[in-house]
Amino acid sequence: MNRHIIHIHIPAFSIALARVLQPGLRNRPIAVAQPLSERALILSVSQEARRDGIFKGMPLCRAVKLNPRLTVLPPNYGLIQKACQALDKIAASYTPIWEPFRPGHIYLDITGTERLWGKAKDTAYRLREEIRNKLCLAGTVGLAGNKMVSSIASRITPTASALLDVGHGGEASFIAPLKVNVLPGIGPFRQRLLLEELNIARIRELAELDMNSLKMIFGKRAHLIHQRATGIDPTPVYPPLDSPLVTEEITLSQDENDDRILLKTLYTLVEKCSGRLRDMGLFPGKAGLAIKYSDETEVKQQIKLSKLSYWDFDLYEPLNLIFLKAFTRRVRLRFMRIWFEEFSRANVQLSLFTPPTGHTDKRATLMGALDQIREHYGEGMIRYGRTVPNYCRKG
Amino acid sequence: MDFIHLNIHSHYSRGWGIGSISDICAAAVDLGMKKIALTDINGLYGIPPFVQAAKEAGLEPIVGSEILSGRQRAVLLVKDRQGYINLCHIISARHCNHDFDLVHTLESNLNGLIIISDDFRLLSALKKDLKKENLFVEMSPGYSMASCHAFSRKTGIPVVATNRVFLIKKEQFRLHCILRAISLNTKLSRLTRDDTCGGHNFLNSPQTMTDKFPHATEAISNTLKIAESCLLDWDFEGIIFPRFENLDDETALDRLYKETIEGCRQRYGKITPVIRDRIEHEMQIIRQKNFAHYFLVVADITKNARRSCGRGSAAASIVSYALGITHVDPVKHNLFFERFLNPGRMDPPDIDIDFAWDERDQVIDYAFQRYGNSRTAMVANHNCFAARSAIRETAKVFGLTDMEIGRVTDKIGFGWQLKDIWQELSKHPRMRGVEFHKPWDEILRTAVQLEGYFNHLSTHCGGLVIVPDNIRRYCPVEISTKGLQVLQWEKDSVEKAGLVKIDILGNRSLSVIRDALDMVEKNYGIRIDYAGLNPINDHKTIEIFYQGNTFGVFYFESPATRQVLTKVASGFTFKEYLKADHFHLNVTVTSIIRPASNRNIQTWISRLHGQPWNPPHPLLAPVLEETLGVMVFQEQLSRAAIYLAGFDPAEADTLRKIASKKHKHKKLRDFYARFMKGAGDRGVSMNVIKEVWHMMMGFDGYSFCKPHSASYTMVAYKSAYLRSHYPAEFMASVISNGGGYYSTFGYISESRRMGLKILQPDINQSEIRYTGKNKEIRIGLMQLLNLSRGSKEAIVYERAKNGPFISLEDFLNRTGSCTHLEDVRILIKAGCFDEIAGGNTRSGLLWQAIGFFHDHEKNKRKAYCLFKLYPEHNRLHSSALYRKDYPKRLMIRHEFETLGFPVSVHPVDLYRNKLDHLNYVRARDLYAWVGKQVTTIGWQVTGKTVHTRDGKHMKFISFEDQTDIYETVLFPKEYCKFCHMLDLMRLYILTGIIEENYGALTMTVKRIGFLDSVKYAYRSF
Repeated sequence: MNRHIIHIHIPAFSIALARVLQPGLRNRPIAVAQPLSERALILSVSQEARRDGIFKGMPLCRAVKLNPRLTVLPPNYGLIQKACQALDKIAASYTPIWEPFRPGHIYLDITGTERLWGKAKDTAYRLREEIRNKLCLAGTVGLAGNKMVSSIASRITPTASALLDVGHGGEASFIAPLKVNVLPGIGPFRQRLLLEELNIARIRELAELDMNSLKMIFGKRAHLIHQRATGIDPTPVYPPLDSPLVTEEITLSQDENDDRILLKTLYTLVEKCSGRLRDMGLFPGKAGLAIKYSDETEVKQQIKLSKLSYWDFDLYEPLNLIFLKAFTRRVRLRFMRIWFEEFSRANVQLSLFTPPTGHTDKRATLMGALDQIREHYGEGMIRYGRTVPNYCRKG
Repeated sequence: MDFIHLNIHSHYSRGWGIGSISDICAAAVDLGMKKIALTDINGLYGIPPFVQAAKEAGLEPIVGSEILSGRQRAVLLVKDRQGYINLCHIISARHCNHDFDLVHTLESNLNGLIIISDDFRLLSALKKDLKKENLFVEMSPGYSMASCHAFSRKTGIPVVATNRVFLIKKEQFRLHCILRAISLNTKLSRLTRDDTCGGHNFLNSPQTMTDKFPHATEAISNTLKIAESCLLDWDFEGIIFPRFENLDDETALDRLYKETIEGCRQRYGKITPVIRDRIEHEMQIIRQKNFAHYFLVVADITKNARRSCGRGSAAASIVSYALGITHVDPVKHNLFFERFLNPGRMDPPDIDIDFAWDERDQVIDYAFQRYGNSRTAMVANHNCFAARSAIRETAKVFGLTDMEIGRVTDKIGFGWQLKDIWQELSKHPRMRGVEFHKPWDEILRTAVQLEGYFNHLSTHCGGLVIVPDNIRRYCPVEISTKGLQVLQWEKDSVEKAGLVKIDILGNRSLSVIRDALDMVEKNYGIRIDYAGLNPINDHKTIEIFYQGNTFGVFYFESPATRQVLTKVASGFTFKEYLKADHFHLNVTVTSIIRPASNRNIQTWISRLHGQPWNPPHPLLAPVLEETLGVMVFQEQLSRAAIYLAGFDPAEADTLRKIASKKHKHKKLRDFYARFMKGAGDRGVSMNVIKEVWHMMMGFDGYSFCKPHSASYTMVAYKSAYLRSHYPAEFMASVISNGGGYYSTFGYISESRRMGLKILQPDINQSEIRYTGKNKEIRIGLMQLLNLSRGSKEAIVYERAKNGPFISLEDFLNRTGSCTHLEDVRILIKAGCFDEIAGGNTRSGLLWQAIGFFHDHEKNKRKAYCLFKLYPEHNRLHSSALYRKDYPKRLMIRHEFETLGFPVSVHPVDLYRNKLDHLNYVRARDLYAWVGKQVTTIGWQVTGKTVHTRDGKHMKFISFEDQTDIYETVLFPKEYCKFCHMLDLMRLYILTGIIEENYGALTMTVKRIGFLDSVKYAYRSF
């Protein structure tokens, strides 16, 4: 049976969403970036802004210089999540096998749905229309026999909201005239240079190479690249997974390298995570920390948690430890993320004996009280002094 | 006065101390102190300036050092000369011996030292060897005071109070922490208590210190006792000369005389009475100053090198001419010996000698081998924080990334002083587009305080000190990264301490001449001897100067000098120029171009072309006649004082030295009075005195003495000879030796203008260096930017051993084991294999190379094979793909990538599509547009930013297009507008007015436009 994979791609997703809510933003140059930060990087750019030379990853201050009339929106994660859920819901109504790849990108495997929905192309068309009608979002759609080609098709369609159907068997000839860097797995540096120096500019030329020559360039990955160059991609569409992860992250409003301030921020993150763990009644077995320096270098550290607990005071110490291990350079930090995983259910079995000290219990009681206050009066109503930005313990 | 600080650190305690020596002295005076100690960590780096500054401030200096080695610690203070010698030995041992043990070293060097320590082991060990009055337990607030006190009572070793001063004021503690973080390569929040001093370790008043020791008053009174017993009367005034072969003074003098006579016979053939008088005159002064050893040592070092050029005032001496130290005849060129040596001169004179830059290390090695490490050491450089490094290091502590820091530091010009500009830095036109967000204010505030602080010790490029006995008696030594023994003092301190230094300097032009002469011999079999080459009357050589075609010619190649040459020659026919004393004119040009006199260039040129002039006073005629009434040479200032006001030579020389320095007004007051009186006595009117004094004081800043100029002009004539007779060989040597005024690309363009052909690098023809022959220059392998050194050497070695390579395959088989695919890629892209490609294209060659290394790797992994295993890849891919050559634009990009500049086209050609629509004047046609506004295009060749008199910046830039090179000037207004956009790798569209001055053209730029950066240009090519 021939596979039919749809890739739906909504360009500049967060901007498209914002425009749905505020139609006044249409046809205007827009960028999305973190607010309250002097050197925030641009997360998303509208087509209009791109014409002024503004691109994703550029510092906001430079973008504003390029176009002083640029409208800057803060990222609205809640809205994105909601929109993704709505998109997922629509996708799920067509096929059980769909993969939410990134916000604004979905793969659908509609193989074998012909008798239910009709021809694949019609299904793709209907899907696009449904998204447009229900969510007012315009996306480009690629339809092909595999994920890679459908994704390429959705990327190279000439107009927004177009639909490109690569007929079955036509995958290889469809990608043959395209430039080699369209293929996934051909990085911008070594391999592209090599291909350019070897006079290979188009996928067609890459596909013509024999396996020996390919091995010389790509080594062990030669088979994979050959497959891709001939339009073959056997990767299945992965259905969405339940992510067993409790995570919190923060992009600092200003880069910082002062340990004291950073540890306060870390504590805030741990506090939030442990609150959620308590809600879910889960004990994490492993914790992790990722930090990003100002120069975008990222460092990750993980630690096994020896004690099963969901209290802040137990979870903070191991994270403090790996933070100091991970943060070895002098360069300021820009971003921090922590996560907990490998959960086990909280043990409700009470101990037969009295615990040796009542210390932990006391703190746990306090935390319980804090949780209650927060539930009643809001998150920020009560907090530890150590998490107040300008508070320093004397001595 | 009841307390004296005996433990004070200046910024010479690297990474610890805050405060310059003058600030410490000033603070001490403010606190009413009479005596002060300086005890920097493991060094006497700042002692000579400290002694001077303390004396000037009316303080008595106590010299010492705090020795730290592992956990051992002691403050050593000098009681007498022997103590100083011992201290030098101890510090030297601390730096030179890996197994240094303080107790052990102290035991053998105790004499003349006072030892203060809180290290109980050390104190117990030394107690038996040392008299009671020389050993003390250190009690400092905050450093286990009680246990020190208890130890003292138990052992009977007396206590002394110190405050371990690292700061001058309390408020400097944060600065100290930042300095510590810089030094420890960490950040402020990770500093522990042991990493820094305490906030109380500042220079507090004696009363405060007394108040802190109510329980141990003897600790306070002992500071007075110690200060009393220390050596306070410091005197560095004796001059220490090297000694030649342990000869006594008389024998050395005899030997020098004999060698001088012998040398003069060789140089002149016959010794005329004039020459003999000159020799006698000089020998008499040399005898008086006991200078014979020094001459013999320098001559000995010089003789050992193939070629050298004595520079500086030493060229005024017939003795150095006879001994081969210098090569300019002082009699013929009328050079003034007293500038070099005179009976009254108090400071040690020095002889500076240039050697080929790549032979200098050998010369230094020879000196060390000849005189031994115990007698010889290099002079140090004190590398202090300058504007850029202070900002960079501070910003790192605050966690800024290299890119963020570079955005600011890259725009800071050479020689900028933060203390002058830091407040306006963010508004400076060059900083346009740079944002100074939050931590920057503190970074700049900190950096300006750190500016000038000692950062690390390095070796002075050529200063060498040789003493008659043991160098470690005079100054502590360390071992440099190159393994040489280096003093802890820089050249000023060495001079202050009376050590006579010899400057052994590297000079690229001597290497250029050497390489060109070698190439001439190789190409044509003509051997020209360097010393014997005297082209002073060679027409083709003189024509080079006449036409100002001095690109690559030593000392005459800068745009400014070339313009002056053009102005000098304008109005003269070549015949007239030949008849004029062109050598003297050129000697004058080398000096008049320097900052002290360059504002007088115009006056000099107009007088040269006939404008009448008179000296300010007839008495000055003999002084100023040779330079047409303009002060050009250093010694003219002193001679003016001698002739007009009757100064004696020594006095006049001191006046010259002071006049060339900054902050001179106080010192000059006495001289002015003396000058007025002297001149007045000779009947000179007040107006003339004022005029001449003004003229002398205007002659400040950097300039040359005539002997130095003459010596360098001689080298320039030799360069010019080679440029005119063997242009390809000469330009190839100029490029190979690097370091000239222009970039490699600048020289390549000039070679093209000279009618030379530039050949791309070739695997069989290219040497590592550039080579030239018969109007052709072959690019050397050194130009391939990322090619590994190993590959370059392997190529040349293999070729010399087994003959030229016949194909890429042959090359890979022969050198494959020492080259890497990356190297071969570079060679192919640069076109090195084009000649032996056998019809294959560059991409085809690359396939072959990749195949080779792929198989090579595979075979390596398998096992060693008995036979050569390169069968598979030899089969060439038959597909049309590999037969297609690169498009032109890709080839040009590869040239940029591999060589750093395009060879097959001029960069301006890359823009030809855009230039088609532009109406512009070509550089070679500019003469027709004098006085008019024109638009030109240009590729930047070189540029120089200068200050105007009122401190504003302006810039001179040389541009070239495909036809010629031309000079432009951006006055402050335009500079301010465009300076932040001046980037080397782009094409400029300039609009400005063409001005002519005595035949030299300059464009005064009014507007600058840009085409894309070159990165984007070849895309559209």
